[in-house]
Amino acid sequence: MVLQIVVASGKGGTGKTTISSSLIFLFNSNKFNVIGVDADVEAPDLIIAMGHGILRAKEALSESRIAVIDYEKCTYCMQCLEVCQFKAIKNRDGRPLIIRELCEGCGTCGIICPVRAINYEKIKTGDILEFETKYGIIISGRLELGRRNSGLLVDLLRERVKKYIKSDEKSVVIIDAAPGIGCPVISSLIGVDYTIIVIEPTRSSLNSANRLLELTRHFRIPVGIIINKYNINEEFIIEIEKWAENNALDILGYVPYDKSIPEAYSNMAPLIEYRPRSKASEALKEIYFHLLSVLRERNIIE
Amino acid sequence: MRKTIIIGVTGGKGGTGKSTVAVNLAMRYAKMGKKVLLVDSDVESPVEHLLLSIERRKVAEMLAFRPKIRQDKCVKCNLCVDNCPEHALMGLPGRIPELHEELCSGCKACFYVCPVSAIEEYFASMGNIYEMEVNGLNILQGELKPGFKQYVNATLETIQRALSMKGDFDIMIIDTAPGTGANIYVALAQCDIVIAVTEPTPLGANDLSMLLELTKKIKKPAYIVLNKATMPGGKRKLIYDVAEKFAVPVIAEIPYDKDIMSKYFKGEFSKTTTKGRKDVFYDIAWKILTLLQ
Repeated sequence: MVLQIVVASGKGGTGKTTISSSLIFLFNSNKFNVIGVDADVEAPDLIIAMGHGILRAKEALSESRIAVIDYEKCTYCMQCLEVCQFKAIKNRDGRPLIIRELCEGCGTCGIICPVRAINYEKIKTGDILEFETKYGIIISGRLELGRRNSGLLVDLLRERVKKYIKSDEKSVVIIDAAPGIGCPVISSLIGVDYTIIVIEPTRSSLNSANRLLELTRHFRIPVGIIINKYNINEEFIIEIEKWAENNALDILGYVPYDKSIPEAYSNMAPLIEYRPRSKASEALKEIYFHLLSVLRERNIIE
Repeated sequence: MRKTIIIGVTGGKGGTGKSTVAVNLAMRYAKMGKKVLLVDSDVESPVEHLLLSIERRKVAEMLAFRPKIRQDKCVKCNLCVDNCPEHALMGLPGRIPELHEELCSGCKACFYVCPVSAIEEYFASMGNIYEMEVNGLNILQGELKPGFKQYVNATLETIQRALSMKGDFDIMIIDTAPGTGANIYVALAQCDIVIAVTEPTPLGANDLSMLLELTKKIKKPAYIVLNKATMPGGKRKLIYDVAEKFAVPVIAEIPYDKDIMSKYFKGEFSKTTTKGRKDVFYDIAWKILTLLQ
């Protein structure tokens, strides 16, 4: 059996990585084969929250395409510029010029070009890094700076997970998603069994969480929420609870803000190992067991 | 026409306080008598209207191509399926292809490749652009709709609209999304100066490094603002190490202030500015102007 859970948030900085690293630690302590995927390829931090690990493999992936104009053939008709939906081609002194950062490599300009002057070149999407930690494998990605195609890199990371699935073991894949609702988040959500939305008690966080919920509806994924840093603004919790109830979401639990969280990172140890008796650690352990029972109730696991 | 200064507020990691800094800076400049446009370019998670509890009004709709296949014209050749780079069109032999909307990037390859013009030129609304005002401060905000993956396009469109209004303002502040990808590139490429807001944690330091690599690559002058500098459990040294490595100065530290935090959490963003020398945002605002001279 393979269980895939994504930890996402809408807004950044709500605690996705802290929650993801804790779940990886807890599933591992409970004898699951755990694979963590850091799907925030523009700011990958999961390995830091795990207390680092041994780099087993690093590979540059060049799955992105970029349009290249053959100016020997080009008749400067500018049709490519007109059809590009990504504004990736500009007119420089009457010549079409590809803006590399904006080109999706979709192929549309190549289809329209009447003299077949556009070719596609493979370029680097980013790096894929495989770490071995005490608590399981972490697969991490690093997008080429300033590039598009973060969704493609997430697809490739998730593909790599298969290498570590053992058929005779209970395997769990924890995907630490990027903030937001765009392309990389969509790639993180496809085909997962359950989504955890991490919310902090602010209107901005709730608003962004609601936008993310709308996105998960497209994929019909069951959703649970964790209210992080709940003690910073307790008055607002009721509003989050009402929202969860109205949308039939599982409330998995509440985690207090705890200074041991940044301390644990600085000391290169997962929170629960660094301060097992802290309030945040106790809350996370409770959340873990609650999550398992919710997954059983929903018939996602046995 | 005015000569407009464009300031980018970014940071790499999410939740470091980009929007808090951007909004506060914009208010200080407005208070100094400058004409200011604050651009909320985080189209995936726009929050400025919520931070300030103000009404926004829709000024434009952002459109994205979405194929609509005409059943009467389709010859089931599956050329559109084969040319769909996102695998959003699924086809079975002898059947009309089906669109999985969330996967569509709106590239229009299917439209141009179809030999029988069976694909309609249809544009769906992928989001809106809003405007709002508070205390003499003008705000422009882009918002992507859930279910559309075109966050880079939406960011670009928001920035381009802001640029078209440039001449009316002395200062434009672009608040970016977290990350280091193309949506950050399109925002920072327009800036005269980049302010990287970070926090004293290993995660903040790691993401700041990636961001400073990006600003170096695109040759933009960057300066660090260390937010939550005195947060419990934080390590300021981590940020100063990154600053030294990239030779990018830390121009200010914002203390971990329970008042700023609780105001932020409660959504009671101060609409009035505090007077006097201790106002850290006022200091940062001045410092940026000095650096630009």
